[in-house]
Amino acid sequence: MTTIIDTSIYSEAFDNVLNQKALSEGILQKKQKALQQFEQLGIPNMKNEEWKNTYLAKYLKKGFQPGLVKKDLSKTETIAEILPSLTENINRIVIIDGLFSQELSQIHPSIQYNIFSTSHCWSEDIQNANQIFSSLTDEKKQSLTSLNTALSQDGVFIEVVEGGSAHVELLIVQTGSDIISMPRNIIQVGKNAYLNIAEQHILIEGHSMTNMVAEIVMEENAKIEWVKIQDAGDQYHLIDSSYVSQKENSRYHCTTLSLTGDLLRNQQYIQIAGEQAHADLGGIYILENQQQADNIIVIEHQVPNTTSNQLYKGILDGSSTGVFNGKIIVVEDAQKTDAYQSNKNILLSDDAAVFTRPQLEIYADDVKCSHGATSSQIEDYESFYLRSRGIGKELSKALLMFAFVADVVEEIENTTLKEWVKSRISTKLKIDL
Amino acid sequence: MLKINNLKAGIAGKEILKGLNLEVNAGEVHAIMGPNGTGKSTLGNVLSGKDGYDVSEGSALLEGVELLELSPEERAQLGLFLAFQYPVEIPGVSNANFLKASINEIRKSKGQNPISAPEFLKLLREKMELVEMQKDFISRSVNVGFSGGEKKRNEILQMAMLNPKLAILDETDSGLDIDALRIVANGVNKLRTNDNAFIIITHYQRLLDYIVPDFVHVMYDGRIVKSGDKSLALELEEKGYDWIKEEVEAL
Amino acid sequence: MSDQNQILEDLSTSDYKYGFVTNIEQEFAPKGLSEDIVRFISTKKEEPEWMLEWRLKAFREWQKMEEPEWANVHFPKIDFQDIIYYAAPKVKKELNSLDEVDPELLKTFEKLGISLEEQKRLSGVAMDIVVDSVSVKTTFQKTLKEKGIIFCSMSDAIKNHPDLVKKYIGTVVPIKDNFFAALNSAVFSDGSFCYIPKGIKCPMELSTYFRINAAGSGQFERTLLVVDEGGYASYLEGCTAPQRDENQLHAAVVELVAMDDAEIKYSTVQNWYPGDKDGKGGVYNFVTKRGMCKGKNSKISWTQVETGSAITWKYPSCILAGDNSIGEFYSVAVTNHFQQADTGTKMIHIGKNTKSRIVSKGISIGKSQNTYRGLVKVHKKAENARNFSQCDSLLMGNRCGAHTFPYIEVDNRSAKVEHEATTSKISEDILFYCQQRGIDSEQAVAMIVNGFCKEVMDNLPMEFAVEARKLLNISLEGSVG
Repeated sequence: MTTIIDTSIYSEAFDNVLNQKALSEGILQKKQKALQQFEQLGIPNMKNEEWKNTYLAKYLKKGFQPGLVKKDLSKTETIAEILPSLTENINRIVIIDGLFSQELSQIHPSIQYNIFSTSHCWSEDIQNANQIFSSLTDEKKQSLTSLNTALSQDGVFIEVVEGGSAHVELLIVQTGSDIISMPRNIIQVGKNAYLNIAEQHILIEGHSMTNMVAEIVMEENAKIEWVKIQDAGDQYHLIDSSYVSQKENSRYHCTTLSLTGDLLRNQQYIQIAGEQAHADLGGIYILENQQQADNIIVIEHQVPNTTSNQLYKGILDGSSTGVFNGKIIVVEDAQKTDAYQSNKNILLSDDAAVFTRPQLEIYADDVKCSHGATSSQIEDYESFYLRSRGIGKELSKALLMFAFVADVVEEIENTTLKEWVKSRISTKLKIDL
Repeated sequence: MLKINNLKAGIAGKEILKGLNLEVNAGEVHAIMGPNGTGKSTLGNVLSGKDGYDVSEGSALLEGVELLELSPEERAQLGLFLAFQYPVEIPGVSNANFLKASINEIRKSKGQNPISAPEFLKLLREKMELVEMQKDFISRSVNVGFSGGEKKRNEILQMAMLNPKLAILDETDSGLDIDALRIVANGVNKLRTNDNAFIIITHYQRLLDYIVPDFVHVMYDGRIVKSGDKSLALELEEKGYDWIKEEVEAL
Repeated sequence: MSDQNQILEDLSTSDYKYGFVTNIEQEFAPKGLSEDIVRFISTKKEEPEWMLEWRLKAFREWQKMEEPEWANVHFPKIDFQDIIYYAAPKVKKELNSLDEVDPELLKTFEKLGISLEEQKRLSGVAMDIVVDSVSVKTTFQKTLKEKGIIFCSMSDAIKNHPDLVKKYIGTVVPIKDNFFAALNSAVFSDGSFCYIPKGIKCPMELSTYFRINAAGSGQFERTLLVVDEGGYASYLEGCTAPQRDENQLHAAVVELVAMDDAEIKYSTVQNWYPGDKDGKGGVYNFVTKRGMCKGKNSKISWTQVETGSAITWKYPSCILAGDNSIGEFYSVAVTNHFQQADTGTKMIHIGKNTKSRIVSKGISIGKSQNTYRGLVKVHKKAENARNFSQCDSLLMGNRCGAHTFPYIEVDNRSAKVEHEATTSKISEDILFYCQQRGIDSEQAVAMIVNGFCKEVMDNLPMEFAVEARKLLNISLEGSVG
């Protein structure tokens, strides 16, 4: 089961990527260090606890390789046609095969925020972006993240200044090349600032793999609402890792909706480092066929008086697999932590499987931490209630599935984001209300 | 309207209904009373097609159509309504959406077009008044966070919206305070017409002070063992069920 | 608040009450482990050739294996060549009555609070006593024999019931299962064996008391309990060790087999020496316990109260192979000072309509670390499997840790698996409420902890529950013994 993958191709790719652009000494050092770390750690195999139920080599064997992505402007028009229609007043960021697309992105100038491509930050020495780069990911020692740090060519840097607010639509477009794209995003939300992001992934043709990393720094009182919709079809593979650092009274809320994809792996590493800060992580996966969705969450409560909430719901049909690996760490003296995690699953078919590991690691006594996990079916008595009201079997089932995941949706505060998620779930479940 | 003939049914190999006969005509209200565990709720569940029950014998015709062969939704679409003793909570699905889905499915089964939004809202507002529902009810999730009384009122509201031919109220009075009881009964009374019928399953006579039945039946050991008019209910209230048991066992 | 701190302080500095040394004449094997030592043990025990072969096979496997490192416990590497693998009280001949037992030993039991005579008379518990590595006395033999029940030391079983031992040993915990199980298979020196024939409900509790006595010695007992069709057995296991500065190794293996309609209730009160309040000394308790619900409608229930050992690594498990079989795990684990416990269970659902229930209560005091680790696995063919797990942790003091690592793997849609866990401290509101009603805080804490553990304690047989409660209070209380 544990295929050893030769990492030399990655080192070669590294030389190729680095030769392309002049990088400052600082960035170069970080990238070199990351490559070393990656070579040390290797491609994760199933002996690694966090990858126990995910056979990464199987997906890599489909031909995905690291390499240099070159900008191909000839495709711009075709892609433009496929993108969802533009909403007024929203900043659109389009990333194609890991490269920021100046042509398709639309950024409204404002004094409240700055949006640059990551490569711009690197070449123009944008201080705050470059300081954050690799500062949160380094010590977590995730090999795929190290790989991204080493090989990423571009991405987006979003800075919301003190008291400002920004609305962003983030479109991750893959043209279907064999090169693993490595977008690197850096987010900084200042004091009392607000950011909301509607993210979705689009695969133009063929198959593709994205290894995306975001580093997110939240100052005092900052607030982020982020919705990720993963529905790019079964030829899509995604490893999405977010590293978040939260200061006093900040609020981080991320909701992931995994609908289609061969492998959708979401990793969230949250450090709650300021009192009264709160992290809210929600996830819904509705899967069929051979799809697999992983949600790996580590929330570290580093100071007293912080709270967190994880709520993940899965509906698994076909031969799909759901993996939940959530961990709450409360360090010594982080008293009055209030943390909750829940993972509930419904299995609809004989071949679907669920692996869930909600974990608590607690080193302070005055805390309230709890978790729960379940796996079950839709109950007959529930379905009977709906059918006795004249609603057909299929729709009854769909409505109950909708009800099952509803509390995750209800947690989303921003009504536009909430409605967006709701409508995507309704469409998926073929509910037309 | 409803004709039940020698109905025998059980659950997990245990027979609960042991040859039940009942005929209900349009315009009538029937009360079914009896001690706990005699099969009253089973009757409601079997008629509306709940899974898990095995019908071994007999028939139940609604306007000449055999109910026992139909799926629960087909029975509902024919005009059978069961007010649940323990209504189910459906988080994330608003009452409005739920009722609209229900009405449209029933209309679809009759080849009718879906109800228009304004028409639906008008109907809903009208019926909400009937059971004295608060305005925010429309957007609240089905039965989520409802008190016991609100859940029962919601059952009556659904009944009013779906306008069934035959409604079975399964212990709708249990756990209700006197005001809620009055609201529920008032709703039923206003919905009574010459074209529909009601079966009210209850443990106590109390509800029948408000909804006056045309017939009262006593169920015991899976059968209707005694029928009469509303005075029978009063007699039961006064004397309890023991004398019925004795009468039956003497036979 | 200061009041409460005082109590916690008292609690976390209370001493081990069972840490006395008994001066009994001992016989030792030389330190270290090699094929020669394995042969030495086998010869000492006058074992047949097949047993020696089995041991040697295990030893060779063990040599190829690495010590596991995944558990959430930390300790200096064990030098397996610095351990005495065989230490036995010098018993010259078979004992027939208690009068023949070494009076020092009898005193030991009295200190433990188990007078054999009294046990025999009052509670009707048949008891096997294992000091260090050798079973010294099994009581009630005659009564059991009449029913056809075999209850004896493992050495006796190898001599007198070789067919049964051969048939079942290593079938639930294979030689290669894990590092410590392999080690045990190579060097186990004694333990208990029990066989309940078809249709027999064992009329009394069966009990084994384990005690490590000799310095620098490891204890490797092996228990095998087979209950045939329709039979029933309730088995109690108690453990203590003297107070010593160095760490002692205990690596036992327990195998249970339940055939059709058989039921086994296995209760443990583990009170190995936990080390002193500075973390010096204490037993390393690395135990493999597993039950196989082989037959349909069989049931295996584990109950454990764990208060001792410096390090505990233990997962009493159930393999639910038979249709309709049931597995249960009830556990209270208390850690104090520098104790570390990584304990839990595995419930492997294989047969149809299998059920399991896990109730785990962890209490962490002082600077200790207490981990629950459990696996619930529902195989593809395990239709209608049901599991419910409840894991609660109570933290007392702000230098301890409580960790919960459940693994849930479901491969069948008809399964219904529920896991719940909470971590909290003793609520100040409840403490205040008790105090306001005139209950002092120490008593209130004991009361609350007892309440916290009640569901598990209720599963212990009467005779044991009293003792377990006493132990629990000792682990908790400072002044009250």
